[in-house]
Amino acid sequence: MKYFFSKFFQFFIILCLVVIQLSFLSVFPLLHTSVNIILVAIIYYTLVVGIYNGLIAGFIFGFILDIFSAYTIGPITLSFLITLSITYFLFRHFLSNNSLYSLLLLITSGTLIYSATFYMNSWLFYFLRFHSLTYEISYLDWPLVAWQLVIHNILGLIIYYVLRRMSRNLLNVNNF
Amino acid sequence: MRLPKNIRFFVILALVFGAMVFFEFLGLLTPIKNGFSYVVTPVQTHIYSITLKIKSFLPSNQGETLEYKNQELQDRINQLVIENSELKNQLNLSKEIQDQLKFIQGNGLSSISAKVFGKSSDTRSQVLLVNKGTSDGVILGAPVIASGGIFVGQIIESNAFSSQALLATDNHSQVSSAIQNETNSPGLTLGQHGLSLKIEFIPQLENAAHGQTVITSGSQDHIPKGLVIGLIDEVSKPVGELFQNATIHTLIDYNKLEVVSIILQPPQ
Repeated sequence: MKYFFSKFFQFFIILCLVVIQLSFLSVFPLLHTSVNIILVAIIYYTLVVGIYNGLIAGFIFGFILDIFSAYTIGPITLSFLITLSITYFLFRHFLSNNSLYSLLLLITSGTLIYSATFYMNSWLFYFLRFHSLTYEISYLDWPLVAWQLVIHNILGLIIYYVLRRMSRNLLNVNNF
Repeated sequence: MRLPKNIRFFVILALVFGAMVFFEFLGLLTPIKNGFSYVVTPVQTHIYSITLKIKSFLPSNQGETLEYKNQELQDRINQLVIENSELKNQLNLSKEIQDQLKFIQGNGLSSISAKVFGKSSDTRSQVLLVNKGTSDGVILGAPVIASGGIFVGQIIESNAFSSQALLATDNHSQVSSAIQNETNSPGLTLGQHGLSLKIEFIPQLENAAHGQTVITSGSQDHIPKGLVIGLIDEVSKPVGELFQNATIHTLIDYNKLEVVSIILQPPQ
């Protein structure tokens, strides 16, 4: 029963985060373009519960976000999977001391990796003729990227200090 | 030979991802997308609407009240610009264009109202999510308008219960346009990083000037002539170039849209 409630709660959280990202943050233009609350959440989730569950969560989130993106199904999912894999590799081999600083560094690297992989994936799917939209490097707004790193780290701090207390009862916590 | 557990997991994940992309390519994921959209869209529509209301309550000081009044006046000006544009249009219409309009009206061209329930999950795209889809008659390429005739964007993706509209300000947006002057100067309106609009490819000898209205030219599939895009702000005439270009001032704030209209096509 506890297992069922845990899974139901996790799925409910996924839907809530999707709704917050698409329908709440989007009303505020600066937040919409600079905050990817789902990316921060799944990076934290992956670091906390492990790579397998993290990748499954990333896959589900990516699929749902792909449905509501201007692209075909795939680019966001693939970006999440690559980002989580590299971030977890960095965590296990270079930043494995479970400190707040390592979490913030991993969120920073994860944000940059996601931006780069999403950019490449949008090109890949464009070349494969799966969709007609792509991005040129000139479209990138570098101050916005810097602003995104700041906001994501603040979100990381909030998660570290607040949500981890609540999540211990609901998640099989391995780290942090 | 049995693969190690971690390798097996990544192989399975890659196969599932590959299958998902392949099924999407074949259009087999449409029922799943429709189902998900059917469940989530009403919730998102309510949340978006509530958030907009919360945002509208936020102005409390005098400066923001003035801003609100200013917005009301701006809306009134927009309405007058549309009316003015329609009057100019009627004056300038040749018999051929009148026939074309008659043809469009005669074919029962109509629009459908749609509620905005969010923006694209890809934060770099300027895409609105609206709660009307193919089951309501929405088709790809259909123009989206607001405030009774201001061009906002075009439908780029649609499932049974929801659609995605690419805003005119997105970098990918290209709209065949005309400037309302003596010669109806042609041009191409392009989005500028999600922030503004620019009209390019205006022949150098044409008279483009500040304050002139830019409208859709009607030469693009699904987009009728005469939808107001914006007003010309600043004209640039590079020496030695064949074309001039100009920045366009949009008449509405795309971030505050709650309800839009999608122009439907007549049944074939």
